[in-house]
Amino acid sequence: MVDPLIPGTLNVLILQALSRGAMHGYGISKWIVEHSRDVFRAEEGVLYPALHRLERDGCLEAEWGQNETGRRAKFYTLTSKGKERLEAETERWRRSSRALDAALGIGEP
Amino acid sequence: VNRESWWEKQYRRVLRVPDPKRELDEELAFHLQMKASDLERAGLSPREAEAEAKRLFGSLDEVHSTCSAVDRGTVRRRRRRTFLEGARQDLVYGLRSLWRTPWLSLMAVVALAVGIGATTAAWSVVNGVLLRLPVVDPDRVVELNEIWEDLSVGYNAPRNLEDYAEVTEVFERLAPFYADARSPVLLERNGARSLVASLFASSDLLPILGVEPAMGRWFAPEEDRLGAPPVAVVSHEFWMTELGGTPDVLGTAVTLGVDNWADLPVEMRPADYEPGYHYQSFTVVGVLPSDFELPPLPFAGAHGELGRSATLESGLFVDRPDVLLPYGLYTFFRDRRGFLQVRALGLLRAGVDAERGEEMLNRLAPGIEQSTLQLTTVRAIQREVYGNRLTRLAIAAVFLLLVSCASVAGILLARGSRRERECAVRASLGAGRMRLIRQLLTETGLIALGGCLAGIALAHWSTMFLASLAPGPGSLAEAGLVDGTVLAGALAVSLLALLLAGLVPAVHAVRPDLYAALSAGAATPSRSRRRLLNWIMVTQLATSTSLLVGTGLLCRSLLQVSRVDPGLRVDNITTVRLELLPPGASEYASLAEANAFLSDLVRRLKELPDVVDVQQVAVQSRSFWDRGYVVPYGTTTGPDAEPTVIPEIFEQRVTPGYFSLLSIRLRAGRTFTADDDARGKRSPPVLINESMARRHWPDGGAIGSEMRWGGVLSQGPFPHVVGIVEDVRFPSLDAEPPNQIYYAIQGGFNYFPPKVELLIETRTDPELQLGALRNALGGSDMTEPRVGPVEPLRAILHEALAPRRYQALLAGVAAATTLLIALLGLFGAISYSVARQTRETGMRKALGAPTATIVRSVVGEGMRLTLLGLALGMLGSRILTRVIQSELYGIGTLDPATYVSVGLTMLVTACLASYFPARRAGRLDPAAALRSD
Repeated sequence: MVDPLIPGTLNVLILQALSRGAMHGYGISKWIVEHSRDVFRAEEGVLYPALHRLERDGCLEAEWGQNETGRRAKFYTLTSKGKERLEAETERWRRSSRALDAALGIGEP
Repeated sequence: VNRESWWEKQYRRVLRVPDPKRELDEELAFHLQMKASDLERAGLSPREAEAEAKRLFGSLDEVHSTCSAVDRGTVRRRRRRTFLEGARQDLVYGLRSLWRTPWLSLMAVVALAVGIGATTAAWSVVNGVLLRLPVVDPDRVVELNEIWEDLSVGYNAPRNLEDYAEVTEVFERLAPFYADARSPVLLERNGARSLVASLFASSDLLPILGVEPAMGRWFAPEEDRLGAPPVAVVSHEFWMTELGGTPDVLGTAVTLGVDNWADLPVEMRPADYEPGYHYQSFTVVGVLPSDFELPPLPFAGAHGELGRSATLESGLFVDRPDVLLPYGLYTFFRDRRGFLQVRALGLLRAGVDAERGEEMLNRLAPGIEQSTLQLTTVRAIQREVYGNRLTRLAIAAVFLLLVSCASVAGILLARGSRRERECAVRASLGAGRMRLIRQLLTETGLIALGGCLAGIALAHWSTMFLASLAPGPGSLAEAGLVDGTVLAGALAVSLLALLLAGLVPAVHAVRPDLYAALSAGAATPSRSRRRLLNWIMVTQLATSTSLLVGTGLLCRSLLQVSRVDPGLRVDNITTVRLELLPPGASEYASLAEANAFLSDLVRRLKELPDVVDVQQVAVQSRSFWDRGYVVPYGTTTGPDAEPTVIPEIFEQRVTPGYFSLLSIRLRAGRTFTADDDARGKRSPPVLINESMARRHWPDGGAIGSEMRWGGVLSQGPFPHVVGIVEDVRFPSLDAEPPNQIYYAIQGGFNYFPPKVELLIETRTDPELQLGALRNALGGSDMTEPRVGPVEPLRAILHEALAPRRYQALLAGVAAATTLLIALLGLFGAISYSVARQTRETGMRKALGAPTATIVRSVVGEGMRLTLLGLALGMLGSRILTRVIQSELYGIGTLDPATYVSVGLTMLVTACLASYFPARRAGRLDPAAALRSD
């Protein structure tokens, strides 16, 4: 079962994906599916504009390199600005999700 | 809407920025392919996989257009960041790279600064003097002078001027004006009296100049006549300092003392008059503008430049008067046609030029049988007085600017050639072409910035210096300001030269054939580039040769001049000038009392233990060495002989011991005896100098000749020559001695206001005695009498040589800088060529060529360039020396000693500059050389 993304989560997921190292767009989309335990799926129509926006805002840097099969691919890496943004967003999501849990009466009492 | 513009496209192409659209295509295609291959792995057929991947992706076009829009923002951001980052890098890198060759960079800055500074200064002064006049229409304003057949010296007789003003076919207006240096106007304030610079001016003067008073009004015609109520117009400065600068000055009264006899008809004057002052209250009716001055009007009789400058400096003419009084209030010998002391400026009628006006005036003016009238426009006078000197200055400055631009260009090109490989390497590593050009231009820009700032500072100082060198009062001193337009021009020319010089190596260095540049060690040196470099080398060597020749000639001239015998003793002699206010203004009631004071002072000076002797020179002009008035004489050897005319004779009145004190030797006849006194005598004995005797009595017979003077009305007997003394060249050692005549006086004041110059001989260095002398001259209270500077003759002589020393120094600095630049360039060029031929040299060594042969061939290459430069430079120096020809003394422009020593200097230094790279070539290890790139 694959759900569409909760609005506003895509950026933080991209940043989180890249926090381990450089990745190309396809890799990121796969990472999101795998690491959300197959719950989320980033649609391409949303993912690529988001990547380019993050690049424009200086959170990501893009460089052309080769993937494992030797094909030319555009790899994204986090910039220091991107890392800061990841931290800030993560914190925000942590707070929001706790608040949501509490409101819905789930998790720790 | 958001399309890439043509400019953006070009920018991207030049900077090799990738096309974001194509990249986006590739990125999305990659995604689809990866997805397809994953699906294939999951069991779909390739075709199905591809279709499924596309389906899953959704609208490719939509994603594409959204991303493109975002990318545009990315490109803009990145471009801005790259530019700023690039500029910062360029700056840091540029500074570091300039610092790597500090001397070369410094020299470029200095060369630029000198060029800009000197040119701006010279042209500012030229502009301030030649092209600007305090007159609205300098081509219509003329000075009028009567030239008398018997060479009476002066300007115009007042009675005649009244006649000339009637010639309305020529003059729209004619304004007489008169300044009396012998009995100046005195200002009385609170019981104290002082001299004021004053001018008696006709009511037509200001309208002729085209000047309006800043406040109040100018004289009305009815105020400009005998018996009118006395009014005055004052200068801005006088208003500020003496009248408090308040706006209610108009209508206030100032008390001025005017010499009694100015308004007395001549027959009412006592035969043995002494000036006396009567004081009167003048109503101030106007204040002049702060920049008011009369046009520079030197003595403009039928005499040469010598006469002009002497009179210009003599203070007989006030060009910045503080108080102006109506000319018509006084008679000024108005009844006489022989009193030639009144000057006149006229405004020519429209359509009449000076030449035609002069012709008409001489035809139409009544009563001019004995004289010719001369009209000279203010502009022509000015050009004549300052013209030569300023033209030379201007030409020299332009020459200097060109040389400095060439030097800077040479330095930049030499730097450029060194950087060629570095640039090639950077280009091969992917640096954009524009980026490299920008880098090189940044360095040029840094040099330009430094050079311009230093140049502006230098321009400021040099302009003040040049203005302070200028002779005479008035506009030249005012011109001591940097002219903004001129400065802008000099900066523009230099920057243009710099830009070109910076761009050539930049474009060269980043040209596309990287391979050729990278494999410079191989046998493919770019021939055109080396030829260009060689020509620049030769040009620089030639320029420095020319400059060295110029410097050499100036230095040799300086040496020659300083060896000239001044004809008088300068050691242990001091001069001091004393000046008293006229009797009536000072505590001395009469000249007799003033003279009693003076002889007491001389006695006290002589009693000082270190003082040997004191002699006096009557001061008619500024100083005793200014040689007094220029007086035309007619001379005769017999009572009935037709006089020979000597138009220019400087006269000086000295006490009889003057010649022995200054060790001026007697050449023939007798010197003055202790009781010779010319005062009041019609036929006193006079001495003349050697040059005058040689010029006018080449066959001898000067002694016994009569010296006629005094114009039409004078009658004999006249002064007669009793002796010939040695020429005095002081303080200008290099000037041809003028005709000089000496009268004997018995000391004391002779003229008004009473002035005298004392010559004091001391036993020891007068510098040590200055304090004692000053004390004897009146202690701390210097107000009465006014004591001028106490100056040892040696110091005056030293001071007089200062312009020459400065000139030689400037030329020397320019020549040394250029030579150093040229030698560095030569060194660079030879090193460059040695480096390029490393492999070839290695081969020759391997084949057994001895070190000496290799060194010789490399040095030979340098010498070939040097000889060519030397030859061209010697030819070029023919042009340069023509500019400085008039500054040379005692040597010709082809002075062999100068040429030989310049040639040797060039050869030896060039030899050394090529020897060091040659030695490196000679020491090459053949094996290593052959292995090298």
